[in-house]
Amino acid sequence: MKFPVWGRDGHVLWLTLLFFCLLAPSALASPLEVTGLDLRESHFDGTHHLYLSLPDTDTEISLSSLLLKAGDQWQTPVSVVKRSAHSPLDLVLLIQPELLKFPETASALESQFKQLQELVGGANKIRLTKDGIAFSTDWDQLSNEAPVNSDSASPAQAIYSILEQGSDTARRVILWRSGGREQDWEGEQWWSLQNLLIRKQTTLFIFSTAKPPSNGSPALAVTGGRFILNSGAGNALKDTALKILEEYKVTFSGQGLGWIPQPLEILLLDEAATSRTSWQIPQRQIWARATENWLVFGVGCLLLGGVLLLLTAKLRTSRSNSGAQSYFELISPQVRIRKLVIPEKNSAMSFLESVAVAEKLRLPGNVSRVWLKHDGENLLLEDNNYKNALLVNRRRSKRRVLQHNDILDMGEVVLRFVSPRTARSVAPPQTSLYNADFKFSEPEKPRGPLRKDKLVLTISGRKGSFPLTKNLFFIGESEINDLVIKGEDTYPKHAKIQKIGKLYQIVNLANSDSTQVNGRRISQKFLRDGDALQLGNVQMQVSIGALPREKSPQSAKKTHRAQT
Amino acid sequence: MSIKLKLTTIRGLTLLTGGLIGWGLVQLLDGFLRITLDGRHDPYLSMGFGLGAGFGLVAKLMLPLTTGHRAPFLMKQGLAGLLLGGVLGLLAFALSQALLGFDLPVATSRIASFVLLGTSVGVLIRGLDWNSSKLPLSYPLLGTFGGLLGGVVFESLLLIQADESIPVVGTLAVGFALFICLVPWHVTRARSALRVLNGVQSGEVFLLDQKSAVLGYGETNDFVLRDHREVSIRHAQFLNVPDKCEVQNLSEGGPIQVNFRPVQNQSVKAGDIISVGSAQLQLIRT
Repeated sequence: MKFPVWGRDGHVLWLTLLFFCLLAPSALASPLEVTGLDLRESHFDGTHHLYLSLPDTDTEISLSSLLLKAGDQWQTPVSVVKRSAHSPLDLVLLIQPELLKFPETASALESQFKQLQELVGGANKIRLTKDGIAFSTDWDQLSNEAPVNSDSASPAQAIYSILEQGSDTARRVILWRSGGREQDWEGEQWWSLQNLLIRKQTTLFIFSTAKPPSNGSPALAVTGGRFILNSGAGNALKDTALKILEEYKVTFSGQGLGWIPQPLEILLLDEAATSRTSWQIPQRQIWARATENWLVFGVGCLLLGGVLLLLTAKLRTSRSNSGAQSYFELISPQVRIRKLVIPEKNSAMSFLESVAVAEKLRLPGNVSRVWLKHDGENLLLEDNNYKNALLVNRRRSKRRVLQHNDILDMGEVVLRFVSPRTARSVAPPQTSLYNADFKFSEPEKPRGPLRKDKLVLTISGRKGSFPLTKNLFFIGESEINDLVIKGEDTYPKHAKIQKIGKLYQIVNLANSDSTQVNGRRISQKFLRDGDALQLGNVQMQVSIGALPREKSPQSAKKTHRAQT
Repeated sequence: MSIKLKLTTIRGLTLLTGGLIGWGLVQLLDGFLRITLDGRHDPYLSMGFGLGAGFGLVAKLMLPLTTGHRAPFLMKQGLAGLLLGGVLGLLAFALSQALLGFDLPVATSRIASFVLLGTSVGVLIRGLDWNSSKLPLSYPLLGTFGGLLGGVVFESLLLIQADESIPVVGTLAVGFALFICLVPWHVTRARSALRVLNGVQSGEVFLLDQKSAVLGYGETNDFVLRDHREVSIRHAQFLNVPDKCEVQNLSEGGPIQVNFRPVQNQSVKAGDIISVGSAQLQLIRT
């Protein structure tokens, strides 16, 4: 079976798409090579510039500068001096203010950059994502004593003030090492910090020697669950921080999206526990986090399923409507389809008046003279008007035994007659249209007023007889005929029998002259009682005004009386 | 409820659902990739594939949901939309990532992603396999506009207040923007509709919102008539020009009657009963 996606012209497109899709990840993943890293001091204002050399450009690009000032009056170290036309990358170095109070800050930074250079040289490639990386602190200096928050401002406030002065376009990672005051990690300031962190596209890591905060700690929420407890010092802390940097070369763009939730992670570090494995995010937790979003997925699928269910339910109700009872459907184009119950007694069609008023449809005045009569299981519609008020199947008619799917027009009121009983009988099981076997439909056999004066067809090889129910009666293979026959040499619309006065005339409608009466090919002929009719290879017997197989000529005469 | 309102609701709900499904897929993919790739993956991959798959799924289903198509066809379409939308979404996000090379802010690239995503959804709505009529340009164009609108809403949501619930809301906003652009325009353009009178589909309404619509039992038609004998695969075509609707017989030997008179080509008006084989349809004004 043809897969619907692949249209006639689809192949080229899909191959192209496939090609692009194979290319896309490689384009995404290609890292930016940095060949050189240099820190220089500006001769103008004493700021430090970090220069990165990129192989595809001749120039060195100054990505950020550091403004170094020790003492009380310290300014933001974060300022983007120059943005490259070739690369949108910013490298932002965020220096913790306390660091700058050390007298040997400048030399410490020098050694820091050398470390970074080593790191880059070792990996031979540094992948700068679109967003940039940042780091802080000189590890050795910070090793043992906790940083002094002399003004006793909480870390949240300190970070907030740094962030506020920072640039809006760059993305950062802040590694914040702080002292062991447990109360620093509580408090309302963290919540206000959260929005700022996201708006400034900053990810915060906190190194702390304090006790692990509880899960409800605002600081923990703000850091996206990463809160690194450091019981060790010195090289352990340094390694940890470098590993964070290393990891962030890969995953930083994930942070930058701003909404990818971070898995919960608390790392407890000491001298012994700095192995690489401690940096892997616990898989169980990621999966737990991901499965929380099954909820969203599930709700979406449920909604879609609900829409589908509603549709199928609607189908089912329309199917279950078909009880055994006959009814009318109001199908006027202006209004919704609704079901009308047929009155049980014989009555005029004026029962429609209330419906017409309710639906604001116009009804002809003389509809009261159209009568609906019950005749066994059938319904007979009789129009006693001088002028017809009634159209059946868009034709004027005086009298009609209603059949399934008949359409009645009375002014603006359009009705459809639904008779599930007859609908079932005229719908035999699905078979091929061009079956060599005989297939007969069974039209309903009305009893009562029309019965006596009727032409009845008896088909050989078939039980039962088929009375003409209409003045114009079509025979053929097609379902729209009044009598459906299927055999060799039969045509979709093979013949019609029309009542002219009191006589019945058969007219050949097939292309070939395969309609025969009493063995002679005809194009049209008046039928008489007892005629043998052959359509294709289907043979049938005509009996007029008598029960089938009762072929006395007198009975034919009798029944030609006009009936009332 | 009028037919237009009903269709708008169904299609709109479907598109919004696409946002939810897409977002769920993003998260699942993200979690999966984090585990399998040990955190070394680009989240744009899962973003593009997930959102694209979600929206592609519903885009493929949006029209056939209300045109009488059978369940196996819907499932096939859904699957095709899922894969196709995923691939297109991936492509959209990858291309917008490439845009970053031109020194544009991140927000612009994300908006560009959504614009391309919208175009993909527009293309998928009337897929390439639809043989009954040509791909109308209006869907991709409107989808592009919807994507733009959605992207802007998304970004402004992130700007105003960013927390973890924003992405879900934002994706829904994208779906809503797509809905605003894609659905009502076509639905309100339709002047007439076809009402099925008999058979299992009785009461269903097919909105004639395209210039031409093909009717038959074949699943690639615009409208499908189920469980009718005497209905051909491609049976009737409705040509829908303003103020006029014309029915054409496409089948060989399958009859079409308008008001119980056999026709080949016939202009039809509201209230006419059109018998396509054994099925009865009624043309109504909407």
